[in-house]
Amino acid sequence: MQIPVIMVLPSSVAMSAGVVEGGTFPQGLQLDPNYPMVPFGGNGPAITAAFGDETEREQHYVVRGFVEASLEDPPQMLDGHVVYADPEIAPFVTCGADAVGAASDVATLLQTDELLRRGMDGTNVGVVILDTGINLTHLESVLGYVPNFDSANSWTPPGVGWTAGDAPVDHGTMCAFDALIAAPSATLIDYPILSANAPTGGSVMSGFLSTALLAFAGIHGSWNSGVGSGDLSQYSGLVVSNSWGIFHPSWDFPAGHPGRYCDNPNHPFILQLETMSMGAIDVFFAAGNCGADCPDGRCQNRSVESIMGASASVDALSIAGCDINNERVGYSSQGPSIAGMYGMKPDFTAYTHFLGSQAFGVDVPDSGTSAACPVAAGCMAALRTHISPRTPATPYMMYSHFRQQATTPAGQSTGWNGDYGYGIINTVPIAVGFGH
Amino acid sequence: MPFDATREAVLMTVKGSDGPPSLAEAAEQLGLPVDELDPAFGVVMVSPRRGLYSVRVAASALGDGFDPEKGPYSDPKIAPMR
Repeated sequence: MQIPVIMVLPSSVAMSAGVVEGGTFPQGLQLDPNYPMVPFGGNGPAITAAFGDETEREQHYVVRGFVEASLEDPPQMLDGHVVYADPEIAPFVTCGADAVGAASDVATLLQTDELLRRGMDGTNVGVVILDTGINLTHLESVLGYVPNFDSANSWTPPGVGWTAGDAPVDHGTMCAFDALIAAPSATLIDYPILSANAPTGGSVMSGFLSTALLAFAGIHGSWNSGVGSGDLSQYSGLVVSNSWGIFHPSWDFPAGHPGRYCDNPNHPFILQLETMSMGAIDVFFAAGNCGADCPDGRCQNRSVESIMGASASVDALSIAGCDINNERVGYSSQGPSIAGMYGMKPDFTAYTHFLGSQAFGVDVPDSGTSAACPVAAGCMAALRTHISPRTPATPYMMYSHFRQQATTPAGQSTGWNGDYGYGIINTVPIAVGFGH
Repeated sequence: MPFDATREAVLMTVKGSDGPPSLAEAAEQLGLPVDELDPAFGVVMVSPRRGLYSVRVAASALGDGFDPEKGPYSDPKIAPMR
């Protein structure tokens, strides 16, 4: 087979490439006509020493070509010149601790200036963060402004020792920050379901799905109260961001049990999602952090069919993660989702792994599909400024628009795939489509 | 005896054609003493369109069977995706 190689040749050799048969060009090297000879490293002694120059202080060139060999046993030299590998390369998948870009880069990619110019900033739209709780003081210090916050319609779990908006700086504060990137004037509503400690004499629901079920029921009831003021019905749109889930089926009932959650469209929480979306509430879920390249340890090395439960429901959007270079982050769960649920998840991809909230430290990125989810939810909140969910622009219609307008990443074919869903979030065309 | 919050619990579904049933009515539908239902959770809306509501029940109060109309359904732990 022909394998690609690179050689570094002195000019006297390289220039003879056009007359290979009669010159001193390395025998056995078939030059790649599409690759120009690239001047390399000057003509100093180090270069001549390194590449065995016949003519001292001669200019060197990099050439690319092919040799007949196997990848297991390529030639080491051709006519006295070293043969270097030209391996296939691919972008490094973001897995590590280092941030890739900052929130300002994300704002640029989301075209938030265009959204703002169209008056789409989240004004009078409620964004519910179901998470560990929001710390407003920290948000203000990082944002440089005081975000809108609805303490009256937020929920403070009994027994936690703090009030709504005054939670310890943690995951929920990160999510709130990320939702405000595209919707800086949205109103945050805090539902710290992951901090619901067991109150004395009360129920133990901390970190359990039933807490989310309870929260969703409260949100739906308030939003659809018909009161129009005081409760959640005062908002022109309501977006719910969920950066949580289960990491492994072992957290659930055994496989085959009809009451299982992760693969069961008839589980009460999955049925409740339909109620939410049919009730004009936009629901976003993180796809999960069990991507094949660097799954979270809690995934127990299970990266196939790792999008489960609500993240795999047809009645909510499931958000994968990419960095600001449009490269999927290695931990972002890949579809298709678990058998039994809607297979074509994630729906689309939004940005993560950037410096933003500083909730975990000045140099620590907002990461996980946890960050991608509120970034996407914020984009929906921006649109809801002028596109009411109580009109024909229902959540289901908007879910469809987000999928249709998503941008196909370079190197990917159009349509759905398990890494990116339908592509990378692209909000402005949706606004334009609605005449804004 | 009041509901013991430290015991393992599951989710069950109950019906309510004219709004949610009371906790006592939910317990009656499930054939359980009301003390086996979590009063802090209450009766929670799942789907008004289907007349479906959910309650949280001590797992130890249930047998091994499964009823599609009632459950039990799992209440797994959840965690942030970070």
